[in-house]
Amino acid sequence: MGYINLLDLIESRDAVNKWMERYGVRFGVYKHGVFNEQLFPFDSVPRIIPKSDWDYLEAGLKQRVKALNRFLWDIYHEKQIVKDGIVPEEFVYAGKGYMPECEGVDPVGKVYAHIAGIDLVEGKDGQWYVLEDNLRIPSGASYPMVARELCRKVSPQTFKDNAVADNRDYSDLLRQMMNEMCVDGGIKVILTPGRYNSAFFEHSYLAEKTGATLAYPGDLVMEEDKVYYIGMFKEKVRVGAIYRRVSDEYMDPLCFEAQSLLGIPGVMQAYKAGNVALINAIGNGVADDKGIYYFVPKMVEYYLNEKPILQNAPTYLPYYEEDKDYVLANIEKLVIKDVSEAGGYGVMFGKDMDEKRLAEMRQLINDEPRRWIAQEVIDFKDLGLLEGGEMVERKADLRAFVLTGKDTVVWKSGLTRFSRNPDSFVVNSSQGGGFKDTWVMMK
Amino acid sequence: MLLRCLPREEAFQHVCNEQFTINEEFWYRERRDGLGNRIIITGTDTAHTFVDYACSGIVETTIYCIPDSAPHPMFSLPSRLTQPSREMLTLMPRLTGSFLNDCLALSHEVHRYLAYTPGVTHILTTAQEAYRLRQGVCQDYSHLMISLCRAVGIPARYVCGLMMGEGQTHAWVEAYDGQCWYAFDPTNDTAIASGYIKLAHGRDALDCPVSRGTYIGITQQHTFVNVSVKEI
Repeated sequence: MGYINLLDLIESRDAVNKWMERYGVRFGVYKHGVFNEQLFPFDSVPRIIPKSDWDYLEAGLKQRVKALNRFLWDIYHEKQIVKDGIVPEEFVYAGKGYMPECEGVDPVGKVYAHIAGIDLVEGKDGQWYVLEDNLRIPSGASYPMVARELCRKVSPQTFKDNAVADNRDYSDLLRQMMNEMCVDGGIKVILTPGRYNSAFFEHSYLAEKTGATLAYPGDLVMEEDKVYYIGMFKEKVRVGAIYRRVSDEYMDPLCFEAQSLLGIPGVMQAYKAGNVALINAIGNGVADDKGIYYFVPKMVEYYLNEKPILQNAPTYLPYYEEDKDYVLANIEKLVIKDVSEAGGYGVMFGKDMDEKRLAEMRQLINDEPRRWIAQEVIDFKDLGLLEGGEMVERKADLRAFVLTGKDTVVWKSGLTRFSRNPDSFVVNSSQGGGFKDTWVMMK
Repeated sequence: MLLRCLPREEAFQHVCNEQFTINEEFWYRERRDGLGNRIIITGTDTAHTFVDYACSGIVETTIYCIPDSAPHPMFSLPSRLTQPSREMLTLMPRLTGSFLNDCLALSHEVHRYLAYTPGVTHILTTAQEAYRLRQGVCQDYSHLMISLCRAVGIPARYVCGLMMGEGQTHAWVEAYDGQCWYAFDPTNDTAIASGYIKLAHGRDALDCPVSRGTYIGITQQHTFVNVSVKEI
């Protein structure tokens, strides 16, 4: 990798942020029950991933997502991994993510996680670690798409001079995957919960970019095992694939939350009959639970008979006596996560707790060992960014997007989120962070 | 609309001569849910002021016992409405290790503890809430017994079905002895030998509502249910 001149890009940061503001690149946050839309602050210094690192990540991500798809199939069919004692049944069948309604259902092409968002960090030693798998409705791909588009406009020379993999193909990858999944030549739709959803910008942007129809709750109906889109003149248009951005529990009021107005009553019947593809499949929560995460490297060995390429952060399950003893003895240096929480909530650092809090935490772990996992705190690499004209270092992670249709592919980019607070390791956008473009180098 | 009003096919009960009727403008299909319960999926896009559906027929039953070589693990684990609490476990009677005696003892303890009071609990009441209220209906009796069974390692599941006579649907518990599921009715403090018609089972009541539906429009909604079971 040669010398990369970023001066031009750095100078254009404000311009890019202005354009994003004009385009309405936002995400919504609910705080104390009030909805607010925020801009997602962009830092123009990209995260640069050298080709050798990327080749490693790409192979590891494909392997991991293939194993996760195999696991999901197994759990809703033979359950061999549970019978063989690799994954304890408590971690599968007592969680919120497990949906009995999906037992025996055969999704198109046996694919469950069509779009997987895998969160990674790079340690100071250059070792990458997976922090979390997101197999339900991972969001964030639209931000680097928009940012790249704008960066190329404000500084075309930067992209002439550097062999950066073009990331504007995400919509093509997505469209191709949706085409491969689509049933009976129906139309493809992106189902959004509506404009008060935190990722509404992304839903509308991806619909525009892929040529899919943006559907709101009420636009879709199920009749006699088929799903239809109600058009402008009340005509019914057959739907073949639904990229849904509505969570499992709200997707079908006849099967899940009865009060849901966001879903399609009866959609599960069309799905079970094989008359519509749901992207992602229902019931994926059983595989991206913080407790199940511990077992993913074991899944790779179990299903693919390969050595896992990517590493998990060192993780302990208090469910196992040996791990519990270790966690109770070393809690001060660990990060404790509540299995049932997401979005950066329920993450606690032992080093931030006083004696009283530590004692409470130990008690909680003793009472409900299944509810917690503990991890070593990874000293991950800081990335440089501009703050008030100065270069400062902040913690950052990377969400890689892995798409599975007929084949599994990794998008040559990703969402790099950083924490704006110098002392914080939590980078979730719902916690006030910003983002960077992610450059994957071709040479 | 999704209806769970048709009896399951089970080792101890066989459905013969079944008729289902619904408003003529409604299409309907018979299907199975993820737990193998028979369901009817139905709907219409024409305006209507009521939905009238009826299911009638003859069910042959023998001794209530359902052989099962591999019960699903979910029936051994707590579910949304059957999560046990520490106080609740103080109800646990002395167990002897004999399956039948232990299940009867658990049923008896639940029956003794709760007072049958319609109207104080609702469809989403958990076993813990019913425990605190010390009152409830057949659904709450069943949830409490299921919680206790699972806590001592007896796989247990919730059953929705019909009893002899006139009235509403009933709920009871099936417990697994290692080979077969046997039924217990904590509301009436008894083991069930025969005379009950099983519609659906699940982890708890959330898995087997008799009817669920949605409609578009602004109106007050009322539901009337009538069940009539006679011996022939």
